[in-house]
Amino acid sequence: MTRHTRLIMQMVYWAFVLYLFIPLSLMVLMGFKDSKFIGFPIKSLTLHWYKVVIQDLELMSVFAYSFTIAISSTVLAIIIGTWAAMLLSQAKFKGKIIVFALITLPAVLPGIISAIALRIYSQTLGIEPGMTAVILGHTVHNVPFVTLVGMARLNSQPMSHVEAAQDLGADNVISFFRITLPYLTPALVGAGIFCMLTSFDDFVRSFFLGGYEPTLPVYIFSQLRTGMSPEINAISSVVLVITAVMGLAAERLMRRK
Amino acid sequence: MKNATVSLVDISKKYGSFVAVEKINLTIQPGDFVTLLGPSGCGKSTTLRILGGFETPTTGQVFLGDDDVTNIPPNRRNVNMVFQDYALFPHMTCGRNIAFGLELKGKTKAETEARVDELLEFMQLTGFKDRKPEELSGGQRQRVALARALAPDPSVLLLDEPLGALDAKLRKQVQIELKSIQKRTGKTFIFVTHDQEEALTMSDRVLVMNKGRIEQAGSPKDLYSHPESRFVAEFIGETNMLECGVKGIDGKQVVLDWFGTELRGDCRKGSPTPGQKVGAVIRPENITCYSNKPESSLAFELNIDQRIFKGSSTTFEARSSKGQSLTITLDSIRADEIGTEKMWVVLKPEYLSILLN
Amino acid sequence: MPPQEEYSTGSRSFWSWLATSKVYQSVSASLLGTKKRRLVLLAAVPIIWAIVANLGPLFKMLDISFYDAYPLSKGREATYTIAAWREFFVTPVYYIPFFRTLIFSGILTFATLVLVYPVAYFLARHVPKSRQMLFLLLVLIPFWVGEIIRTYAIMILLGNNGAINIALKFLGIIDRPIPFMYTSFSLGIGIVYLVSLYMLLPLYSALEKIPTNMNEAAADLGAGPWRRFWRITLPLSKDGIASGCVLVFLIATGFYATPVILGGPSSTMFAESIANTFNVAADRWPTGAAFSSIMLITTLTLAAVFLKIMGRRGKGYL
Ligand SMILES: Nc1ncnc2c1ncn2[C@@H]1O[C@H](COP(=O)(O)OP(=O)(O)O)[C@@H](O)[C@H]1O
Ligand SMILES: [Mg+2]
Repeated sequence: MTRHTRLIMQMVYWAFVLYLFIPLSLMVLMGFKDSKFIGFPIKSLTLHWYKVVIQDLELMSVFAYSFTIAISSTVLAIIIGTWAAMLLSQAKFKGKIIVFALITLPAVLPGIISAIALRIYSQTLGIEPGMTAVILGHTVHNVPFVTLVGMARLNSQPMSHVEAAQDLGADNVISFFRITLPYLTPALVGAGIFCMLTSFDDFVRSFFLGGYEPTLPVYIFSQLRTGMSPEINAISSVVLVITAVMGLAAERLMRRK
Repeated sequence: MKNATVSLVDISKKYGSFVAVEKINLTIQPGDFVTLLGPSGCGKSTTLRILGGFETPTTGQVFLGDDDVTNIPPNRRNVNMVFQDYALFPHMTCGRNIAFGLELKGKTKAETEARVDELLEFMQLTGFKDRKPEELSGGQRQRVALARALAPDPSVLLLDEPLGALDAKLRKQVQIELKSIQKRTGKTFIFVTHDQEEALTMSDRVLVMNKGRIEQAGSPKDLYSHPESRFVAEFIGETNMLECGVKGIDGKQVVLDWFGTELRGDCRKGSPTPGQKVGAVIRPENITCYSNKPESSLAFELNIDQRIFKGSSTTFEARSSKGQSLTITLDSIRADEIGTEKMWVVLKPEYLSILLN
Repeated sequence: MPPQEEYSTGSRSFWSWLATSKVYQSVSASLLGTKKRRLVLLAAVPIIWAIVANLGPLFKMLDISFYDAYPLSKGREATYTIAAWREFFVTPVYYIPFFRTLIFSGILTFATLVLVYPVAYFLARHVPKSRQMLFLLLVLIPFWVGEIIRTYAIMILLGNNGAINIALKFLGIIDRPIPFMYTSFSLGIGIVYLVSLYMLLPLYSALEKIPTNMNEAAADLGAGPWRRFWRITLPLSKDGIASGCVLVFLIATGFYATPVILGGPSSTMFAESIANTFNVAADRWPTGAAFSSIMLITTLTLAAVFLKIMGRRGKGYL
């Protein structure tokens, strides 16, 4: 490539970065605006909206609700996803490709379809819309991710570690808990953080599977239908910061050698 | 645990249609240092892994003492393995690594601690107990791996190229150490390597493998002096392989024709018939040289092509006008007595082995 | 079998205690005793999960789509009918958003590809290896934030008093704000904003794998930069393009909240049509199920055909 095209590509990259960051930056900025009206011009700045958010008990309970769901679905997804990763990377059997495709299927389903199918399914199983249904929905969505991360990590584990453990008297369960699980842990913690973020951020499943109590994105969505407000900016900014910090931590853990 | 005789009976292992190990029969006496030697891919590791229980043989049985352990998984076999990459558990200290097998044998805390300390001392690793494997040198890791495998007191210790990851100098030193550890513990060691020198240095008995079969088994000296196949002759040490025709049989000796020169030698395996094409092998250092024509009727003359001084020994590349060529090694002191152009050589029958295959 | 171990008495570590426990020994022997049992233990949970949690909902959805009504009132049996499926094909209010969704998602997928390709190329080929992670993280961070928050951020950007309109007014280009919001335009910007990561990552990993000397070799043979791009780089990044496009397309068709927030009446997406059958009248679930099934079958078929055309087989879909 010539110098010229290289320069163009560099500009496209930075333009892309701006495209990604400008909307979020504006959102954060508006959270500090000293007016109920979202938009320019900005006359003066305030922390008022953050105080409002912190004192909003309803919002805090929404936060707690979302958090409970995130933790529960993550724990479930880690257990099932790790189990699936063990199966797919350590066992030899016919039809492995099919099992892999089935387990990772939710990763490629359009969101609305996944949500609707789960809504119908939970109804037929007698699970009313609410926390249980949302947790299960998020677990379904997160298992493929944990499986893929777990498989990647397991593929880098020397076979001899497990063999050595068995050689020294460990059965498969003991060698899993004493050797394989410690090896997987950093990757699983990283994957777990991402699962929590995904669950925390998920709208479409939470919306269709949830009962009267909203998760945070569902709450914000319902607020948005009545119009923008600086409070939403303040909440969103808080979520943004938490997300970025957790995401960076997870990224580090998952890439650690 | 008492050492037990290890026996493999008609062991074969197939991967699909590929035969990795074919009809292996062998018995290993308690307390021996036995080496499986062969080129890469010849089935050494597969054989060892069958012994360890990591692979189930396609046919045949494995015996430890009188017990048929063919279908006993590794965790219930009283055999331990040292892996090529050592396979130390990276998240555990050396002490925990060594204790791993002891705990799973149901040892109490006190017993475990005592045994770990004993082994650390035995391996000269005192003070490294609380280090992680990544904080050790290659040689130290190797010793931890050995200590870990010895800790549960197995009846047989399996070692799959455990020195492969060490550099050449350390390797030599560890070979001697390993041999002495084996002597002191009195354990049966079954060792795998593709390095013939290593095999000869350490073993009581060497099993040379080729293409999934055992070509020849014997003491290092035996294999070196009396190879029974071309493969073994060429795999172990430097050798001269002479393509001859059989002229006749003279008592126990076989009379050969090598480009018109008469040679005599023993055939330990099989019976050659006159007219047959055979290989005759002789080690470079077993060729007797003279500066002038000796008395022997077996003597013949060669032109010296090259003379390579190697310190204590000197190697000659020599050939005759008939097309014969030999590599000859002499003590450098003896080599001084040989002229620069020509030499006379005798291939003594006791050093010449005749191979039919 | 090795003889029964004799254990001495004394305090033990947990693992030693477990190994000596008769209960554990017999559980271990019965569950892990043979290769087959070990495989069953390992396979049971994931396979049951895949069937019950992943396949189950889709089959149930397909099943319900043939019911005459659902949820059923007490004591009433469902009868099977194709009414719900028929409804789709005869009602323009339904099939128009459906085709709009497909076409719109297709266009957006292509737009995302064109936008993101140079970014991925730059990252993979021009940023030094040691700094690639940093450059990549910079674009990754915004994608960790959820759909709703990012959609909201786009609202702020494009609103009548949003940054763009204010900037244009300030520059004197316009007097009156341009109504970006509630149009296909705002929706397009929003969706591209949400999905471009799923294009970036596959493209990046495909481009990163192309050896540099390929291009040098071609340059030696006298191929110009464009020719090199068309003949070498583009074909070699085909796998990345294929999986990126499929992922983006599937995700784009599945958005519900974003079209509701950013789109207008002329850009109603099929997801909203589906959702309405659940929100408005509770007895129209079969219709929603049929619509979802139609969408699922169509999108997965299109994705499979696309992958086939791109020559990707036997590599899974990820
Ligand atoms: N799991 C396996 N599947 C297929 N082929 C194998 C497997 N393990 C080993 N082999 C093949 O069996 C042959 C012998 O392997 P191995 O015993 O590891 O040789 P080596 O003597 O180098 O230790 C090799 O050709 C190898 O490719
Ligand atoms: Mg090997």
